[in-house]
Amino acid sequence: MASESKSSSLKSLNIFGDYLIMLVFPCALSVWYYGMPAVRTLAVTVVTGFICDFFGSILVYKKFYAADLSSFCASIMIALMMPAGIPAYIPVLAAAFSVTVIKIPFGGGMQAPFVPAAAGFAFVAVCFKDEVFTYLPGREYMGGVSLGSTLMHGGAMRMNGSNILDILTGNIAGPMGTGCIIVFAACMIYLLVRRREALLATAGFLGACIIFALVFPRSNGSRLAGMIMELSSGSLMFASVFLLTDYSALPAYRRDKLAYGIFCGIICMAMRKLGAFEEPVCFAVLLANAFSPLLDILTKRIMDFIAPRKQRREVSSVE
Amino acid sequence: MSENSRGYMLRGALLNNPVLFQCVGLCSIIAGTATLKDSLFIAVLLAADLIITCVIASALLKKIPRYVRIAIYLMIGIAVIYPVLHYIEEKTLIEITLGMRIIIPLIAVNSVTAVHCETFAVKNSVKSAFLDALAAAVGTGAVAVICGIIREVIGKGTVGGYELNMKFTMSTMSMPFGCLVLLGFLAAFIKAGVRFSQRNPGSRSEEDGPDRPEEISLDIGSDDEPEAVEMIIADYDDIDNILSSTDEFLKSLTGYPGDVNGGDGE
Repeated sequence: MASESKSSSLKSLNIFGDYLIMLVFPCALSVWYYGMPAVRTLAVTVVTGFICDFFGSILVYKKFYAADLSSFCASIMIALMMPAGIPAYIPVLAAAFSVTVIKIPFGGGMQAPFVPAAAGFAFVAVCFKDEVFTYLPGREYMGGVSLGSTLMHGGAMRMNGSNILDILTGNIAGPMGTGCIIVFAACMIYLLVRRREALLATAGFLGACIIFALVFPRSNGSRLAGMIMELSSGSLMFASVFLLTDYSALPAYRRDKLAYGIFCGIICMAMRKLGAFEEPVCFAVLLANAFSPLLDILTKRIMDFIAPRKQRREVSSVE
Repeated sequence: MSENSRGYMLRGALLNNPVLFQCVGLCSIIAGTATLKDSLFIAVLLAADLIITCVIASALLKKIPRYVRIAIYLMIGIAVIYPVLHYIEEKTLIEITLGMRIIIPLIAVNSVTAVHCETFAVKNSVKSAFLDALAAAVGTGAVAVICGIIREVIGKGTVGGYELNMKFTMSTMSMPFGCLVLLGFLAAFIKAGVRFSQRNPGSRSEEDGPDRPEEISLDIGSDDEPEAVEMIIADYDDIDNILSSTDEFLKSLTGYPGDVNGGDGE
């Protein structure tokens, strides 16, 4: 049993090592944009995650493996979804919640039924809504008003070369490490090489979000500009790369991964349109985690329903 | 307190705690313990209901068919709760909130009473039933009060209505979700304490030893087992009794052999 847990730890190291490599770039950008507040937020969150993991493992009489990077990754993800100037106790609480309530009771980062980072962020978003969604101004563009806030109030913006570059590089008000679209595109390429299967959920998620944004626009400008704003606002792209592809909650089969992503995208965009939170993607991920077994059954039934019809068609065409 | 009584109390209040380990009576605890005052109401009313119903069940209801007994528990609960509530209101002049006025009648139909009456009180003497009910009431009440204090302090920054001037509060703790998380942590701490005392037998006092009931030991698993959330029910015979009684009840109602085990009875 000990060897099994060791091999599980090595598997965890392999998977979360990839995520850690991808997380380096958003971290570097957040430090570049926001300086010391970003460093402080990252540091306290990571240290809290580590301490909670260490002492939590002792409390449940489980051997602590430093190589299990799941709590480390979850802590960094939580920090990147926070605004840079947030009081330190909020990311500390989020990291402590994700590790002690989600990760440790269910036996580790690979067994958790919910994505720990999403749960931690959702917890503090409910408790400290004002602090979590109040952003420091970006370096140049739009002051302290985030794209999510603009969309929430039905605002629009005219796209030109300058502001599109700002949006693509994350140089706007928002969570400190989730704005740079170029970095997430690079992360997707990395995932395409290393873990291709996981990207099915991302594809489903982004596809559902794009269609929803085009059909039900929130901005009063053009639909295309509104769709670009939707994709660039908040933590949507970040979630599509890091939260949706989290192995603990990702379904096993390809069709289920796609259904999981689509379901999450629809819920996320519906919550954006109708809900009270500026960035509800973490709640959507948690809901998709909860509905994941049901989605598996549903997709299987749909496939079972479609397959005999295909067979009948093939038989009739042969006849 | 005799050794036997102490064994009942230890088992019923701590190791077989109805809320934490048998997972009964969760509704009233989760819904009604957002503040210390509300949790005290819940604790007192639950204790009155549980003790009086169990004593009456043990003294008078042994010969009555099971399906009639259940209705009688409900009637006793209603008959007990409202006089006690009015007495508390008149004597203490405490105003009960609207939310609590919705939750309090539901205490009459709580599962703690039904489980303790059916699995223990109707099969044992009045004294044993009283001790068992008292232990369960103490355990449930303690959990309610602890939850009430912690939820009020963390969720509202007050305790008993007095402001604590905390730097921040977490409104999540006032929600049912916060109570569920708190109950999980309380159960985990008790489990860790029991595990610690079993690993260090020297730390256990000798006076607990001889008359300690057999069923108070918790199944805590071995070190090599994968860590997972497990519902701990110390006395498995209780569950068997409930299942067999439900089986009999279904038979008497429908005429068909009820199968609550979901299989061939194995």
